[in-house]
Amino acid sequence: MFQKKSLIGLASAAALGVVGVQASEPAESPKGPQRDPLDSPSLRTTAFQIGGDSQQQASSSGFNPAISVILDGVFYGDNVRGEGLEFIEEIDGFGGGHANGNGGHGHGGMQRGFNLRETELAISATVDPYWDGILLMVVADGEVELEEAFITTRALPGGLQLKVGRFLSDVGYINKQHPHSWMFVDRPLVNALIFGDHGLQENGVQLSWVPATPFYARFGVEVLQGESEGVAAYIGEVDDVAGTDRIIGEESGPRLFTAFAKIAPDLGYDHALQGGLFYGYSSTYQATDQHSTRFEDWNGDARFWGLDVVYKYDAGGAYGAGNFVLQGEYIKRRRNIDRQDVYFACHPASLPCADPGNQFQPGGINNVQSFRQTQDGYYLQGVYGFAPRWNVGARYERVGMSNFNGRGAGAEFDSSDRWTVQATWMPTEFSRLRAQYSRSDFAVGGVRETFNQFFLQWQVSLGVHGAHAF
Amino acid sequence: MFRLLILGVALVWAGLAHAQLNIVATTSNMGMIARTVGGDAVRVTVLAPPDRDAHYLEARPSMMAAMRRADLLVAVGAELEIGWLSAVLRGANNPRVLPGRPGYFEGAAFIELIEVQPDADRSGGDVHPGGNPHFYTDPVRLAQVAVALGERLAQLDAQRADAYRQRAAAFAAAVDARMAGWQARLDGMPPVVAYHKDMNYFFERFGVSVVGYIEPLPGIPPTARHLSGLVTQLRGSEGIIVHLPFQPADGPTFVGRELGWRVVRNPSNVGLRGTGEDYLTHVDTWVNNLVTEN
Repeated sequence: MFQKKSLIGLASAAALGVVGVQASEPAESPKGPQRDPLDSPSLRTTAFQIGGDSQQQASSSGFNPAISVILDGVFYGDNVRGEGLEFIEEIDGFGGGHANGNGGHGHGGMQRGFNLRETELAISATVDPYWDGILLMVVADGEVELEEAFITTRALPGGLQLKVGRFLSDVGYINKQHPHSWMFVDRPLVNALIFGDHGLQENGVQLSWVPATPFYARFGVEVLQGESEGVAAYIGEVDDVAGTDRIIGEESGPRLFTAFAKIAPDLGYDHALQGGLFYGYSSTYQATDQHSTRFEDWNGDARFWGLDVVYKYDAGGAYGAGNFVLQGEYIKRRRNIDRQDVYFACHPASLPCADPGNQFQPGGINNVQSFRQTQDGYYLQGVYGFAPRWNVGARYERVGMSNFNGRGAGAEFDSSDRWTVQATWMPTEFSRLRAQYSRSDFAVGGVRETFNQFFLQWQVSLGVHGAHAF
Repeated sequence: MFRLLILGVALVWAGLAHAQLNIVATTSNMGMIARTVGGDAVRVTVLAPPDRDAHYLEARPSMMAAMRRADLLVAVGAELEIGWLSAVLRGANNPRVLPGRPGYFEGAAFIELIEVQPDADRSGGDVHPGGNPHFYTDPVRLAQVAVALGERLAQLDAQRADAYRQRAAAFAAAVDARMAGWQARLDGMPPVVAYHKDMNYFFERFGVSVVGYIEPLPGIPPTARHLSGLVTQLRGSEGIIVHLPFQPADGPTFVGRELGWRVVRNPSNVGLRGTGEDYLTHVDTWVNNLVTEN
């Protein structure tokens, strides 16, 4: 009987487009963006909280909007004169420069010694009965960057939610997490190398659906502008060179499309497992590299797919003692590239332009080829709460098991791998201290670079009480 | 294949199309109240098992799956579940049970909270400025919540309104009938040292004084220094130490040994499928544990 009533309500709501909730009480409480069950709760999951109204103890949730700040400091050291972090960006098959035309991004980030990493400021509130909004800014190296700014629906029927704005894509597990949610100091290699330094972070819309099933499932599609450097690098309009058009040009967005599915069976109170599958297609991948006399231009498309799995064991011990988390992801990327080089100067540059020995004049075209690139990688990590408020973790990562670069005569690169261990102490839910050691064995420029890295990190959360992490 | 799919859809649909109200309760005590008041007109799913500390739970997928299908959420409130309930609500995409809707019920909103500290900040530990959320250890307040829940169910399911109200009133009457007996047994109790502030409503209701906590600050694990300070402060006096099953026993045991005090381990929540009768027995157990010399 009740069911019938709610069905009618649902149907009429669907007809109206949104559920008519205003009839009862004004809804003040933030709901916030869709979250998957096993998302790491982090220091501050989000600034969203259960807000107060007449039916609820208001307590500290009188804030509107809710504000929270994460401070994050790292003492860093390595045994390669501080170049450890740059090596990551130069890993063969993924790195910058000539190897794949990504261009030098040079985001080395930390120096040896004391660093203040990202300082994250999050502001969130319920907009009205239909929308929640969140703004997430990051201050790093004196620059302010807008990490996320989006609205999500509160009242769509049938388990649907729409997200509009700039956000981290829900593909995979770790991609949508901010640094304070990670259980290690740094982002897994595969995420940084396949998507980019900030993961897959885009402007666009996402529609996700949680069906009313006895187990948890969530399906979603995203339509995104397409600007992430690893899969959807975009340059747009460029001037011709001495009358010769370049293959790079304006392409209208949206250019990146993704789909994901996450499924989690009910395993009782002690165990939780979530598996995910995802796929992405980017209609445009553009890159250019300026050599001494020519532009090397790439224009193509990219696809990626992957899977992620997380298992959590809740031992029921005090303050997270005995808990265990096992998590891993695999991502594969394929790019189809059309290449065309255009000369902007006479070549070879050692001869005067008028010299008949010149092979190319400005506007001349060379190296027209099409090729395919394939890269992949995975990480697997486990974290164990060995005592109340303490945990230790280990992570193994490998990238480039499949590592083919079709440029020129084509090249097959070696894979790179890294071992990491960490120990974390969490005095409360709101602060943590972490020590981490990494041993890397990378293929960089055709040679093996093996080196050690050491991190000491402190992270604290100010402001609104997020969901408990542990 | 296609036929199988249709059959599957039909089965799921049949499973969904029952007349019962789907209630999701955060703790098994709240589940007990929902079951007591709702009777067989409701189906109750409990998110936090009774042997877990509801402060420190992590959101699990099955919580979100249950919340997705819920008609009513019955929570303790006053921020007890703040660490994970908002995450569950966000994962469930179910607007019916969002705070502010009739499908959201928070017990703390219907009783008078103690230890309200509006000027608290986190240097005081993991405090709840709105007040102590552990009201369910006070049978009188829990009965008030039962009555409020009866009203809410009556609002959601008007056809059975009388039955809901009657069952709530019956629970309140059962509590009322036992109050004098419990009080008589607890009169003259020595003071207690508690692990956390989670039995304070019970102590307040029956006039038992609390002279210290095993935790130095709420949510901070006991330190050697704090425990020895506690021992120094209380040496020579009489008392009992009380903790809950999920709280580590070493701190209480140490202080108990040093002071020569009895250490009592009280269950906090009724079982997953506990009834109103179980809860009353539970209160009997608390009382027995405190007054009975081992």
